[in-house]
Amino acid sequence: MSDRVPESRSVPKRKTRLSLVWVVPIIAAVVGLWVTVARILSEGPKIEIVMKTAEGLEAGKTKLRYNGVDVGEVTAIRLSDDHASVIATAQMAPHTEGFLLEDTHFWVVRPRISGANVSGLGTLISGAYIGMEIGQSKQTRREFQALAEPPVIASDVPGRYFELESPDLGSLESGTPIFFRRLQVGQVTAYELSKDGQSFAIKVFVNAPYDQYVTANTRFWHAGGIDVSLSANGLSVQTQSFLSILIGGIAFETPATGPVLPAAETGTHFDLFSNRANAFKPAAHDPQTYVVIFRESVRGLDVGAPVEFRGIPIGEVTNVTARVDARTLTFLAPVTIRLDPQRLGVQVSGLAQGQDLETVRRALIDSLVAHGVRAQLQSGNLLTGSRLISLDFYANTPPAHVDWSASPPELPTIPGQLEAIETQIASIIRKLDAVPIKGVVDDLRKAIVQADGTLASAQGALDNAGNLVGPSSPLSAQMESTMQELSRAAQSLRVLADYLERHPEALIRGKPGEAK
Amino acid sequence: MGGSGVSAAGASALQLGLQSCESCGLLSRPAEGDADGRCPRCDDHVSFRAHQSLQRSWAFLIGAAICYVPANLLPVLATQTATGTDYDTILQGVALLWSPTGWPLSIIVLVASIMIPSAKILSLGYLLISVQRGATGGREQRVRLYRIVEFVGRWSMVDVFVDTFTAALVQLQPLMSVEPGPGLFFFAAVVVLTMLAAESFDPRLIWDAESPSGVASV
Amino acid sequence: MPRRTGEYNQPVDDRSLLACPDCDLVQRLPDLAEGASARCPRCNLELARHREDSLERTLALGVAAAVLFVLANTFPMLGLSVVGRSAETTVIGGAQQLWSDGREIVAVLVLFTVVIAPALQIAFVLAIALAGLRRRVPRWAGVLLRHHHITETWSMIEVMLLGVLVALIKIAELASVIPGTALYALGALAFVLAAVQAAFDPREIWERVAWADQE
Repeated sequence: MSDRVPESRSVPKRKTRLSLVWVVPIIAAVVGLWVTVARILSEGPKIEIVMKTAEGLEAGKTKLRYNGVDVGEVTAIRLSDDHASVIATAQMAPHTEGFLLEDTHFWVVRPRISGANVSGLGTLISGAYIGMEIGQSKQTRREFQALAEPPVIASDVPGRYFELESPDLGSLESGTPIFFRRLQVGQVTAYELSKDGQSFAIKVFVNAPYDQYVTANTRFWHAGGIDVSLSANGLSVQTQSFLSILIGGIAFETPATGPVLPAAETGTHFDLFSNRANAFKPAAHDPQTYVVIFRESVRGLDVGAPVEFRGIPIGEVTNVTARVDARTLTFLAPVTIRLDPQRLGVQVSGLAQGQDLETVRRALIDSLVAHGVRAQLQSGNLLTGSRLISLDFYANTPPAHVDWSASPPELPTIPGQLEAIETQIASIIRKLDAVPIKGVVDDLRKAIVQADGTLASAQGALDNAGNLVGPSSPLSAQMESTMQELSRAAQSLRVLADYLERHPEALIRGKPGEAK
Repeated sequence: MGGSGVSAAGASALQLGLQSCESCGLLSRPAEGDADGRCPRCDDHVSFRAHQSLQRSWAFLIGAAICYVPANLLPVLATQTATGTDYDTILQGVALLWSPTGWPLSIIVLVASIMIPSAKILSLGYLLISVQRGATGGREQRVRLYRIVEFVGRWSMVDVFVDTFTAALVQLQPLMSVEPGPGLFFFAAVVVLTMLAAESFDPRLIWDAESPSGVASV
Repeated sequence: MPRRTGEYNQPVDDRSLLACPDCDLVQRLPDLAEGASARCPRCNLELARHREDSLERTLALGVAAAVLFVLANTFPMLGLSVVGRSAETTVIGGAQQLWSDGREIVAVLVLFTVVIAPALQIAFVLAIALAGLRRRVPRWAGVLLRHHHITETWSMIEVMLLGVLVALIKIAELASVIPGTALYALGALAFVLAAVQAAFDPREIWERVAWADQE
């Protein structure tokens, strides 16, 4: 049996107890951690935008805005490594990852004034900001290149793009308005010189719902400024709007004649004409080129001057040249014209077998020429002196034929109207010249002297006659008495007539009271 | 010595030849020599009274009084708008803050920026003069005045913070931007100098006038 | 008058004796009951107060204060928005604005009173409390404690809050003001710092600290 009983150890009460006050720092730490983590987690993505200049931008202040809503803030601005551009780092708002797509665009909104576009004036007060346009791509991106200018058309504006081609730019620039029936319905968005430097490709945007009026048949033309033209057709002044006078514009319209086509697809190509008249000139379907040679001055005949057949425009002048015939030293003016027979309404139909269009046409023209059709220079507008070429039937012209061997074929001409007038005037003057004016004048003088004498004697004869028959002449007295007698006689006759009328039986029975 | 019971009408440490450490409160007997002794517990310099307390206090106080003039004459805020720049002194700021609904703000700034500094300067001046003239009455009131001055002093800084953060926030060029003006420096100087003046004043001097001091303050 | 470093004074034998810092009256501190405070009979200055768990509470509150301090200076304090422009500032940002506007000295003063002094206050108090929890309180705790009073005097967070409040209300008239996280953190910090000051009992350190003259 052990008599040593181990003693239990006495463990003093642990004094340490956690005071309630520790709740305070724990709460503080928890709240602090939570706030910090929430902040970090809810931070949106960071992006970098490369731009030319950071003017107006301030790190920590400048905002990124989409549709008026702040979606980010510029946090830092620095120069690129090559010092050529500026890199702005921006912190986007939470949940904006979906905005940052491959084709999302950024640009700086500052006050901008250019031809047709005044924009961003609000930033004078509110400070510059970065605008953005969200793309549609599926890929995301974190580094962007800022656009140099705000896009002319926001990508989500309904409407269609078309491409116009023009030999020169005129007064067009980005933002130039497009008019339809004098209403602005769109604008030019971009232009580019073609590779060969011969024409411009102009990209235009027409807003919905007006884009439905653009069909494959639609004509576009430069409508800026004031279109004043003096031509053989007279004076015409055209303008679209006051705005377009200042900054230029393009107008379009679909000709009423012609097939009704559906609205053109986006990207359709059109020609841009220099004015409305050119736009609406019906296209020559089957243009035939001829040359006519004039032997007189072709002053006033412009390229584009109309060629008429009996007053109907069937073509136009395409070229005016000069030639001197060395042998005869005469001046020749070969003028190239382009005819569109279809404008005459001449439709060749019912071709017989074995015949082709060309032969039939030649035969027709030969026949016309044989019947006296000639080309003649005529005055189109006396005011401006512009001329036109008229094809018409002329009687009494020397016979001629079409020279089909020449290229282009040559049509016969006759001297122009003006020339004929000139000739007539010349001959009149010649005739006048031939008249011996002096002799005629002398003769006249003699005749006048003679006539003078004759007149004097005539005057004397008349005076005598007057004495004879004057009021106090014996002749007149005699005549007077004769007259009296005559009138008495008439009177008695009248009485008799009256009596007889009342008493017609008197003729037979005689008057009562008279002898029986 | 020590250990003898003291009553309210007891002796001050100075009368007993004891020095009280300002930092840790340890009562100790001064060491030999002219130089200040050191507290055996916390190693701080110990002396009977704060050195040149009156001189330093007067110096800071006069400096504060001098700065008080430009603090109120020079503008403390410059507000730049598209129409020009407006300069506002403290008093003008008080007037600007006045509105039918927001008048408490105006009062706060008026009290904190005008009344407290001037009251501090006057109170400290009074305390210093009273000590220098050896006044013996109203000691409890005087020490209470001192404690109030010490406690309230820091609140004069309110306007400095108002102006600081107004300027920090309103930076919206060219619409409106606020800049702190030159007066703000002098105003801050007034607050700091009066605080230093109060700090330098040794309130124990108030009680020394009762009996001629056995040990001269150095 | 030059003050040269002299010899150590001789402490009085009765450690419960002290002189009132305001009126110099020599008196003995009684043992304090819980929650009781000792006041000078002559000038009524509070000389000592019984604080329960002083060091532990100081430590806990100091940690809380440190967390709040970090929050207060990291996040923005105020934001404003008007006509599409917006701006915000932190506490340090306020001092920065002063500096960049040419008021360098005021900037330093503001920075000192609302950032540096509170930071030092919290750091000192934490260090001292940690040191105090050890069995042997090292001397450097005493050094820190000597200067702790200065940090308390120049720590003006509550004054700043009042100033910010006034500025906020004034700016709210012309713009929409958005209080930030830091503002709430600062409000809480002001309270916590006041709680630290109430909980901290320097006497506990002084009574147990290693004496300077023992080295």
